[in-house]
Amino acid sequence: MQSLATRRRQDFWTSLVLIGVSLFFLWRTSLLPFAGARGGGVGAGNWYMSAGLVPTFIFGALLVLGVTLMVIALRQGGAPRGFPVWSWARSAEGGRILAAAIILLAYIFALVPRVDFILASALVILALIHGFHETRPRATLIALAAVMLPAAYALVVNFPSSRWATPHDDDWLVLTAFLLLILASWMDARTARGRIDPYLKIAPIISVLLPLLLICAMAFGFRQNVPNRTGLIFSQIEYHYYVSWRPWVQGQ
Amino acid sequence: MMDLMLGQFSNFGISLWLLASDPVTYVYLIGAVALGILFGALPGLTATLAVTILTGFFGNKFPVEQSLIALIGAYVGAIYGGSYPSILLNIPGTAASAATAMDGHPLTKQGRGGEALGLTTTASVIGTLTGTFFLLLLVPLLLALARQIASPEKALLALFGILISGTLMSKDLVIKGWIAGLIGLAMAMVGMDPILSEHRFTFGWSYLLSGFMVVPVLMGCFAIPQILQGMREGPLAGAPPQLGRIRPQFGTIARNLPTIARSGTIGVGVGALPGVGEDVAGWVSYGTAKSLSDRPEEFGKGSLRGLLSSETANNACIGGALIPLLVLGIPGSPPAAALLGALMINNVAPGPTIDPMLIARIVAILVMASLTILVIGLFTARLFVSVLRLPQTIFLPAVLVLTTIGSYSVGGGINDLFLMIVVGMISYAMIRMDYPIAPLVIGVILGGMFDESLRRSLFLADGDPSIFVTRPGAAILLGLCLVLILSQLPPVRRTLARMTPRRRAV
Repeated sequence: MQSLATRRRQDFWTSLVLIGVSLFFLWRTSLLPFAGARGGGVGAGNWYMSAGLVPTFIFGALLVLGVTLMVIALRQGGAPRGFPVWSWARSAEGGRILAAAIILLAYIFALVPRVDFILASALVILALIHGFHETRPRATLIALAAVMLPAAYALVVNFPSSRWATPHDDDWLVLTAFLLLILASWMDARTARGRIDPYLKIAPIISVLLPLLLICAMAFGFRQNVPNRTGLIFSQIEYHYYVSWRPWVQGQ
Repeated sequence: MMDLMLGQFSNFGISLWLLASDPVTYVYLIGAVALGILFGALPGLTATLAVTILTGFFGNKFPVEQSLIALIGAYVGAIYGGSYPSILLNIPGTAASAATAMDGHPLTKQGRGGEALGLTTTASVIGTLTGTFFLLLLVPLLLALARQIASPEKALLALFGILISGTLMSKDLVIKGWIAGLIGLAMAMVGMDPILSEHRFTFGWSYLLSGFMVVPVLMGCFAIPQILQGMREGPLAGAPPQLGRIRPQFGTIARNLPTIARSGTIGVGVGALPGVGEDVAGWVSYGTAKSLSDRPEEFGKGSLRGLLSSETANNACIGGALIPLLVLGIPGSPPAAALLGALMINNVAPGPTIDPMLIARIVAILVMASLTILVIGLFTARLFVSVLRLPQTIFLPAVLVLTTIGSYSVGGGINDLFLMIVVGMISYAMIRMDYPIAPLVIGVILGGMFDESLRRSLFLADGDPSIFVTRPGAAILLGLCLVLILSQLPPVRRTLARMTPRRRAV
């Protein structure tokens, strides 16, 4: 647990956010009909039937607790002394968390919707293993760049959902980034330590095999939905599963 | 009442026989228990995560009877598996096994790691069976009582669940737990309101009309923070020591039976409290065992009683946590919340209308899962111990992919992934600032029930709030909620603090 002063400084800023969010949602709740509520075309104009009743209670309570938190924070030495996020982000720990968070956000918002799931996941797994198993800032930066460049391309060039499934340019770019990252991670590790960690040696294989097996198990074993069926690799797997493999197994 | 109990025992016998005679059971059970032990043993992975990830895989495409074998097997396995790194490396594999490290690791330092693991395995099995016994005994009785529960009691039960979870799970200020619970409740308000179908906080986005899906929220709350935390810490693994003999001396178990029985009962009791998990059960039981011991100075230095007390309680907590889940739809612990998510996506509504055969089947699965951990724990422990060498930076990226595909598959939409990651980032920030996440999850799950029951109660009473005090059950629950809130007010706390030393002096 962090020191009391640090916690209370955080609590001060959190309380401000809580108060702001509560007030915003209390305003949004006030837009819901209270006395003139209607359900299924029938008047239900009693206050106690309103859809806004419980949210008013919740956001009202949050507002009270936000103010209480601020009072406690100020009483226990949490008075603001600069915005703590800036100093935290510049620290080694903050940098690692930010880098990991950016990679996760890029994976979910940019890569998974647009890029073949096997390729996107392979790139992100390898980036996380190299960037965070190696605790050096340079390794983290290499990992971040390897994910961010193709993710930014996919996001900018294929932004609208109508383009998520069609072109494969971003798939090829991710594949290139993955191959370059393998080389870069090995060179970086060798430069820094004179040898490559055994885990880094097998990381590319894990990175490809895991999403490959998972998506095949989900799609063909568990019969679940899987992301981006039209991706560069999965579309081929699915085609050959239904056109080549299953007829062959069934003896046709 | 006697007929009810006999019927329940008969259902249990039938379910156990059906399960034991079906070969498919063993495929699911052995796989799930082994996966659970793996999740528990690897620091950074938790029981809740194991159940949540499997929920994503099984979704609603498999019969719920089969899914439950996997989910409960993983739950039991993970709570037990957390003891491996606690004992051998002094790194709790799960929060539930934190108390186990207190005496487990000193035993390892004395060269008795294998013995500690063997005793832990036996204690876990006895604990799970104790919880299971109480579950079988109490659920039919409580279900009969639950039929008397109407909307006012339901609304107040939901509120009490959130308040008690927030109060007991907070490591820092209690109001942080309440804030987390209220944020969960607020999240549950998104979507069409259940009575008038009014759109609430959807901001014109059709995805939000059906509200936040439980599985992406669970994955966001439990998986994403764990991944970020692991990446922050870097590689965390250790070299496990030589184990020696694992199979326990049954004389030791027999000598400590009173401790085991007491710890099992404490575990069930703590588990039955809404949202209060196995970690609290372990610590409460450990503290009780220490305070009642004639040799308290041995605790923390390799006391077998200390080890057995925490490990029995955290496994007994599983059965306890399922009691409010099955009777009222209120999860007793975070993994039980994940289990509730699985039941919800399979359209199984826990509560008075639940199928008694399903309860009997759950009890039978718990019994079989505990026997499976006995076999796996005593005969293949060395295999799982070798997994402890794996650094978290290697397996946590794999967890990201597992949660992504699991979350996507259940809802079938990319929006679920967006929800998961946003909830995950917020949860991580909250955890870093010492906000407990369990009350948030409980809030999300119980929010709908709270909203609907509260308004329905007021509707039945024509807007008269006295309905919450005129019904005895509601009045008791309201009183408990008020006690919880008032006990945190500074003047009350000061008074209580003044009274405590006086009582000691007397």
